[in-house]
Amino acid sequence: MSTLEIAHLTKSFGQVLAVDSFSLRVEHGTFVSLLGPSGCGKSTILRMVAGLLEPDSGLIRVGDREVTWLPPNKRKIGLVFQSYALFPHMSVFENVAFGLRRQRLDEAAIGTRVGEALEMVRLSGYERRLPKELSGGQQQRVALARAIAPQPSLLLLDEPLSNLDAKLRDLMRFELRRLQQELAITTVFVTHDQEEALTMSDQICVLSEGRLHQFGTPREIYDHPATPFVAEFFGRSNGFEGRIAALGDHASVSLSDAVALKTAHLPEGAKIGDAVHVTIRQESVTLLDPGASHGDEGIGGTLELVSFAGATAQFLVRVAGGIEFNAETRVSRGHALPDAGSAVRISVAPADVIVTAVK
Amino acid sequence: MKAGGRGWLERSGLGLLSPSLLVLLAVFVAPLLFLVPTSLHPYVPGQGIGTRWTLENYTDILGDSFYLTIILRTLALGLIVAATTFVIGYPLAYFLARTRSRLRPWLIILVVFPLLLNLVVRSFGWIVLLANRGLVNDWLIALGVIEEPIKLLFNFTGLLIGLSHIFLPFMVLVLIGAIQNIPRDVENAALTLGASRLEVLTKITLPLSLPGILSGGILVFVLTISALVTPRLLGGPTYQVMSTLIFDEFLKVLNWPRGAAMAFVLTAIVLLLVWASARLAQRLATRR
Repeated sequence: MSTLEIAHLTKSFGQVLAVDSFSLRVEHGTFVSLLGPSGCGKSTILRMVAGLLEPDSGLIRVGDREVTWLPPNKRKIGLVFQSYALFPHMSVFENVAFGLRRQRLDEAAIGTRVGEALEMVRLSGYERRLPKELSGGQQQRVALARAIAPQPSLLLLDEPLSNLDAKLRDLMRFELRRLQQELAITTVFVTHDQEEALTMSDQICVLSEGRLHQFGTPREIYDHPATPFVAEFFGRSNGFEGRIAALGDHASVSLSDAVALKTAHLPEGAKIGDAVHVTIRQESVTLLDPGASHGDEGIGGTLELVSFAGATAQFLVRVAGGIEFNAETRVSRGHALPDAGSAVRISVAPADVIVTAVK
Repeated sequence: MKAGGRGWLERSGLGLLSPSLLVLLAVFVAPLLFLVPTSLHPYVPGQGIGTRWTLENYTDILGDSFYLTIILRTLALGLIVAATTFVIGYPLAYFLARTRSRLRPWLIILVVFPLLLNLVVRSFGWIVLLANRGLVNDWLIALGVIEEPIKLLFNFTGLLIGLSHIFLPFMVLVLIGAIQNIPRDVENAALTLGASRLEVLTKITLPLSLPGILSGGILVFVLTISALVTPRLLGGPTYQVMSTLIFDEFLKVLNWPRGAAMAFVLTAIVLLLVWASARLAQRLATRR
């Protein structure tokens, strides 16, 4: 069984703390994404796990073997690089066979294993091609086959999809996931793309500025973000500073003296008057139909901006106290959009009001 | 878009090439061609260039063991100097191509720095070091390594040491470029696949820098076999190579026909080797 255990991993480059006491446990056979904006330290962590960078301190264990200070060629870890890093002077066959030859396997076994690996990435028949004769997507598959052929105990993927065009990326996403499940190989996937992380992972680890913000299933992270950063990292959202106004069944947060929102979920141990961060995803803000009467329902405001973007439209609504809400709604064909400057009412379902504690 | 002559001129890049092309034609190719008839006339002692047409200058050179020895010596010197600068220069170039040190630009200037010194001065420096009573022999004797001074000057060893030193920067500069073109991650990929550092070097880095090794080698080879000042100073008046021999024929013996013929033999060898290695480089680049 090969779990990956990282404990208090720390790395700085000069004055910059790139990874700050990062800990993580990846169970055998699971697919975990390290997700964060560029410069959050995710690739640094991956390179330390692969042995291409030395940590300042901390511990890395694969299975029951500590590998923290082992050189990369002793770790038996498969790594797929963002640039693929194929050997340009070797055929596809020799690329995939490279790791097997280092294990001193005999020629027949190498042939079988290369064949299996290429079949797994659906590239059988390309053995004699050179990398430069392949498309980007095919090169990516060769890189993957090369990494899995020596049967590593851990597979690391460093933004492997970011150099592909959008259509191919969607396809490879499912291929990668299928492959990972077929092999039941413990996998760490580094990405800055939230959608990739959400669709592919068993668990996601959200990072910012070298620190772990939240570790959980995609659903947990999306529905119950632990920090303001995680809350705002997914999708387009509105962020507000607020205070807790009521607890219990009628829990609510006030954004200003005039604006309060009901919420379905408060952070643990919250008290009335606590400063909190309120996140509302743009698609959660509903513009109420101006024709119907709503009484006190929702919040009144002025529509400042309307922009049509095909399937959706974006609105900017200014409510009492100068607070601005961005809203994104689906546009029905032939349905007129309200004019800028008109008075509107907006509402947000309590479940969509995400409240996170401010440290 | 206008079709016709102008479009072709722009596409072929001839417009950009023409200034340097004209200079080369006027001051290099034309004088060389003027020497062709010279090499085909006999040398008449006391009179100069004869009027008869003959191939005897060429047959004399290629049939005489004295000349053949010098041709072979020159070619061997070129090959060994190219090999020596490669062996010494590759680790240095690898370090300079891969280092992240802030001193890197300065280190590269340090490599180029010897080129800023006068060639004669650098060659004289080696005479001081390599002479029978020079620094190297004195130290070796003082350390008890040898008892009698070893001959390091006015022979093959002297030329090899001096020329390798002088042409090392060219090799290093070409190799730095070649090694920088190899992505670091390609070497890292080999490491994660279980290759040792030595295997990364022999299976990845060296094969991928082969085009650079080849062009660096050709450059140093051509520079070596056409070098005049250093062989003259470190080889003395008696230990000859092609270039010093040609120089003597023209300016001491005044046998222009033979000098011209030797110059063409040297040029032919160079062109042949450059052509062959260009073919080789092309084959390496498009292998399989």
